[in-house]
Amino acid sequence: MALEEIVGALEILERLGTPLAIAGAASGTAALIKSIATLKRTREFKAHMDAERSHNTVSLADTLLACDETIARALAMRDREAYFRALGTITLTLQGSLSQYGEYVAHGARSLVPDLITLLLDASAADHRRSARALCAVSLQVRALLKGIAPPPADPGA
Amino acid sequence: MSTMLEDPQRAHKELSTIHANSEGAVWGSKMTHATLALPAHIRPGEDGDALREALARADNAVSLVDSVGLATRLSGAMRTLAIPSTQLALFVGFLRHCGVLPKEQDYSEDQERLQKCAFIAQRAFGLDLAYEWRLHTYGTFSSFLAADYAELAVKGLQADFGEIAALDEVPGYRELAGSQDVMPFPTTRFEAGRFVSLVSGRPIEWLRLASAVVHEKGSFPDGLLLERVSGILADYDRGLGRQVMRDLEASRPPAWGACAPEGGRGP
Repeated sequence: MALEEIVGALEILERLGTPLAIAGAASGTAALIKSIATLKRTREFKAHMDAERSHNTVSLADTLLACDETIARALAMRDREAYFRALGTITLTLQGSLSQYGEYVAHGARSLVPDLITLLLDASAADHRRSARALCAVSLQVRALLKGIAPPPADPGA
Repeated sequence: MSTMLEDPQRAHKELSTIHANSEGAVWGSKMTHATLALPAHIRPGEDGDALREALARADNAVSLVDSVGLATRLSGAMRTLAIPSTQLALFVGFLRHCGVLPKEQDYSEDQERLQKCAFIAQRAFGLDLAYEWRLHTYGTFSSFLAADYAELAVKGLQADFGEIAALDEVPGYRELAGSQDVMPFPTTRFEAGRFVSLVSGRPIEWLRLASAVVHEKGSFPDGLLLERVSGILADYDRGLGRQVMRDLEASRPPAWGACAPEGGRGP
């Protein structure tokens, strides 16, 4: 390359220096703004997820408590038809709630879930007396589950 | 309901063997006979001297104090027999006595361990609890065992197995029991010693896996048992699976090889 060509290129760079610096500063600022916005959105999402987890935890606990109270009322029922209607509702509510919020049951208590479902199935297919005894066990399982509720761990990257 | 005492000369020497009757009324080797008759060579109606002489000759004469002690113990045993689900209550008491379950009753802590132990005892070690079982992702489970145990837990009923077992040590018990003819009735042998040494101190994951293996034993070749179980259980651990197989084979349960699965076949 000739000396003149090098000098020419340097002159062009010298002329472009200021606009390039301005463009660099602008893109850096834009990137900074963008990352701040991303961080803000991440924090908002984390807060949303925390609120969601908290809501789901409370929701599952409330449902289990409500089911336990309903079980106590069902066990006091003399009318078999009413008892089995109540049992059907309890079964639907518990199964729905546990399948929706299954991950909110702590790992160590998770074996209670299939036990509970099995108990409900057997309670629904037994005569009133045996069914009521099985439902009594369901009540104890529900109380044990209540002790085992824990929100799942949050994403450490969030 | 008559209670029954196995011949102490024969059965009580084997502390590791526990019997159960077919009616579900009696469980345990230390139960006692319904009637406490005099030895056969003494006939009521003979004059008092002859009776006294016969009693004096008898090596197994029981003193009044001994009899009172025995009666006290027996009343404890009878209280246990009045508990609903007697067999389960006695089994729970037995597990607590042997340290397999904690001494204090806590439904949520005990329930799963009891489920697995009861299944292994019934299916592999010949204990006649007569429950039906299902196999799911955390091992075997019986709804009606859970129901029976819930009833015991809610009512705070506990069978003191130690009290029943201690009958054997009460002075006069052996003599009284020895004077009886053993009433023939169908018994199921429960290999309690081997059972306790197998399940004692095991973590719940071991019990889950062992119950699943015992459940599937007989329906699959031994070489495929772990593969089968790994497809059923949640949180299956291959190393633990191999250990369970080794422990079960070393323990050689009496029904090992003869246990045909009943009830549910897994998810």
